[in-house]
Amino acid sequence: MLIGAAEYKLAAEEHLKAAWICHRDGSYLSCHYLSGLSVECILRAYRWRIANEFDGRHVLPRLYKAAKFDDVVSSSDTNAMVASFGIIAERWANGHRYASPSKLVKYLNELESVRNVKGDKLKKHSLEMYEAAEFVVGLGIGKWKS
Amino acid sequence: MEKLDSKTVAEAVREWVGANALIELSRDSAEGRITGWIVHEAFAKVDRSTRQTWLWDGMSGNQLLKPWKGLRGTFGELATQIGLVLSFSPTEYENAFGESAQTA
Repeated sequence: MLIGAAEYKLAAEEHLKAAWICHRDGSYLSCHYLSGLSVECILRAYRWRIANEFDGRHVLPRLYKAAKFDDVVSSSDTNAMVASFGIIAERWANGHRYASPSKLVKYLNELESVRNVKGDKLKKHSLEMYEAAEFVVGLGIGKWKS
Repeated sequence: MEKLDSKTVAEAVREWVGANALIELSRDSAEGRITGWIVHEAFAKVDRSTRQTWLWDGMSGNQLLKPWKGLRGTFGELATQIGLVLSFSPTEYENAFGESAQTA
């Protein structure tokens, strides 16, 4: 099955919607994974328009550059992009689809990304991941030129 | 406006973070901004907002980093040619890139 730019863009939207449903229903690990995946998809959508070949790596910062995604980020959006894309790039990895919730929390503790969080760390993290993905994917879709 | 060379930016950042940091900065397209990332142990346990303030506006130095004027202080209006620059601790880098910063 050949996946092209339009399919990657659609997948980004679908995964983002699913991420929210997972967060709402308390499936925080799934929200984490789907949020990162939606960002990967929008980057792949942009990259595909430059070079229509599949790059099997899942390294989001490299995909961001390969997709020339910065070209759609205005100066006024740069800080928000750093904050949002930074969260996703730091905390997400494709291999997390195999992780358990407890393993993910352990990893987040290593990063200290949920430091000072009182209560459900995974819930807070899940929402941060969703909101970060919503910004990145939303910007990519908003600037998409068919 | 004069065109800023990504190597010039990388050299300035190198002066700040030292030889042990991993710095990858380049223009993604001829008319695009300079983007990339910096990996340094000094970023561990420092929140992203503070790191970005250090990077863009400077800092007075600490045990691991030299005093630095920031990208804006160093390059002035040319800094508008710099876009997304991420900062990673070695642990974050390893997660994001699937490789150790030492072997990259």
